[in-house]
Amino acid sequence: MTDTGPTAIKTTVPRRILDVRGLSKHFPVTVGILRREVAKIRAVDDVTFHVHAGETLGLVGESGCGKTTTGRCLLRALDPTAGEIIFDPGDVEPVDVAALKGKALKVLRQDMQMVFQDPFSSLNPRWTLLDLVGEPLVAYGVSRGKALETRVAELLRSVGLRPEYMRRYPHAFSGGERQRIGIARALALNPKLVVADEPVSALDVSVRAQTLNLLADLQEELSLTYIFISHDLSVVQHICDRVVVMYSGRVVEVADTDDLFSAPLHPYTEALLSAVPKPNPDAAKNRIVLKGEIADPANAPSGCAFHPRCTYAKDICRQQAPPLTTMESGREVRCHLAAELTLAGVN
Amino acid sequence: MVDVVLDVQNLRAGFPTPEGFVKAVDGASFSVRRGETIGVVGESGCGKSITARTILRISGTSDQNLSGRIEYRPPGRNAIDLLGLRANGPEIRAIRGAEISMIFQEPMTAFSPVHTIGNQIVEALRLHRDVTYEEARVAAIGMLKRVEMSNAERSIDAYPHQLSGGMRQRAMIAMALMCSPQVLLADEPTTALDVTTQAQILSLIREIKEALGMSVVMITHDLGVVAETSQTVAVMYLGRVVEIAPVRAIFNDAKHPYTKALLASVPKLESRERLEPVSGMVPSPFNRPSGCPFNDRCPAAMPGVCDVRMPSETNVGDEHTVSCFLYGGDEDGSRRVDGL
Repeated sequence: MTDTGPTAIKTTVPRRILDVRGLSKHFPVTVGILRREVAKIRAVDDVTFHVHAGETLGLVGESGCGKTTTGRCLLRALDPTAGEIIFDPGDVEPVDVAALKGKALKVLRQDMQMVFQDPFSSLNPRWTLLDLVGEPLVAYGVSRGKALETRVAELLRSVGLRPEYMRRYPHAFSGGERQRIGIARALALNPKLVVADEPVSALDVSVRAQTLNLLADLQEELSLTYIFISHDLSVVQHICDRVVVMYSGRVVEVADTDDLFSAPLHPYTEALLSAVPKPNPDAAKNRIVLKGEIADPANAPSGCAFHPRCTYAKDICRQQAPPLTTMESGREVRCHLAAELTLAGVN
Repeated sequence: MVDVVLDVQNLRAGFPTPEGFVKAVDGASFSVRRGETIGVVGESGCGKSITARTILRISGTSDQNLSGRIEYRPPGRNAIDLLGLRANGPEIRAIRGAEISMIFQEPMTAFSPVHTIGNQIVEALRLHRDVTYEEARVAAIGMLKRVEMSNAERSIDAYPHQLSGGMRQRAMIAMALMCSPQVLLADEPTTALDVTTQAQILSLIREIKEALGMSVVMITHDLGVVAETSQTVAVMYLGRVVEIAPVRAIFNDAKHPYTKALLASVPKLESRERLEPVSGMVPSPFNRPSGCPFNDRCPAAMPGVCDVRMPSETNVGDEHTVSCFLYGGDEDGSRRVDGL
């Protein structure tokens, strides 16, 4: 934040563990038995960002903005339509995840894991904790038998669950405990990067706080890098170092968390921040209530996708799609008017 | 004297299950004033939804598992104890949906998928008012416009699956408001929605509440929603109201250790300090602690007191009551002391 000079940047730039360039994922809309393609849903469209080793990067936006699809493409749970995902684990040569196949992809997946949103549907109800948390270890031939049990016990302990519960089934656990099981499973192979897709949005307030603290502790202990996908901005501000804001499949703003929350550059970010209900009855209520609904990625408006809901929109916004521009401050924003507008943050 | 429209006293509601008897609501008391919004907050399993459903007698509890009083005081008529009515009798059906109505969390499951929203809204009106289908349809279009439904004339003939989540929630609100109710029970009305849509729906509920002069019971787990919408806040834990106070008192001067813990678990937009969550979890409904329900997680629990007896309500300030031995609560039993 403070190192603005070019020399400072050179000396302190951390390693980019992940460099995503021009990532796109289009889903075809087909009709008839011949599945003739009539349209494309541009779920993720030319998304570019990077992740520094050891940081937590937030990926925020409303439902349908493409944040989950982006997360899934990064791990190749979905195959991207276009783009590069350069993963640099540090100890070996960087690879383009988007181009990997077969064995190489399987090897890579040890380093990248995912924590899912719904702790009920993401755990097989017929498997015990030992099966669930031990599955990655078995799949990669890391350990078995007694050694497997020891490792699973260690993992369960690290997420605050008792190892004695190893033979129990997921139904015996509460939502918060299940999310811990999901975290233990993601950590089994000592990954370097964890993509957490709305890991706390299904949890109650007090359990959510416990889980956020656990994620922060594990990050410090195991020097993990997180990509934290969420729609909850108060959680994002709490846990993330930098934030990528997405709208209708595109990145609209990238900034350090503090900068983003105190002085957003994109009108969508401003509206998103102002929509968060603040737990303070005396908070100022000059809310920007967005009209209308999020742009349909199958039928995006002309020009800037946000212009029909934007209070600042001008003619240029209706005609031309703005590029993602790097401002003088080094922040990135996709808005024609970014240099002219002064937008309100939350602090 | 304060103008109370709905008075819930010592409400208990439970369900027999194969694993044992679940006391979903265990002595909850609060009252709703005319024209105010009361926020009912608590974590899952605290009984907030069952309380609302019991008010309308749609919770599915049999009569022997219900006790307490829910007094509805309609303007210009005598007070009615809703718990004294037959759950499917004509009296409660005349009130349900007309004088007290409810909006649910998930509008996709609350609407029937095989009828258009228009027909469902029209039905809600024609059940209670003597109007023709055409008149009701005109009124429904008017109400859909009022809740800012885009293209009301056309979307009245839409099936629920053809609408987005925000639009479905607007349709649900329109249906609940068709008969101009005295009380609107809103059970997590925005939990399934995006933040920007949530902001739209909350401001809509606020505007309509002011225009119609109705009371709103806003049931939510989100303290931010409560801070923005409510004048009074009731905090529930394990089926009991542990603290009730004006909204500013709850956020600036919370008394009950659970309320304090709840406030400390919320990430604030202003600070990034480490969160201090309540230790442990909400106990299983089959395995409630004896004494105060919060004593096994409470940082200030007093052994020999909190784990033995149930604290009663103590008045700690202007319309601010709390059930905790730290502030008195010495009187044994759980009956609320009040002058009503």
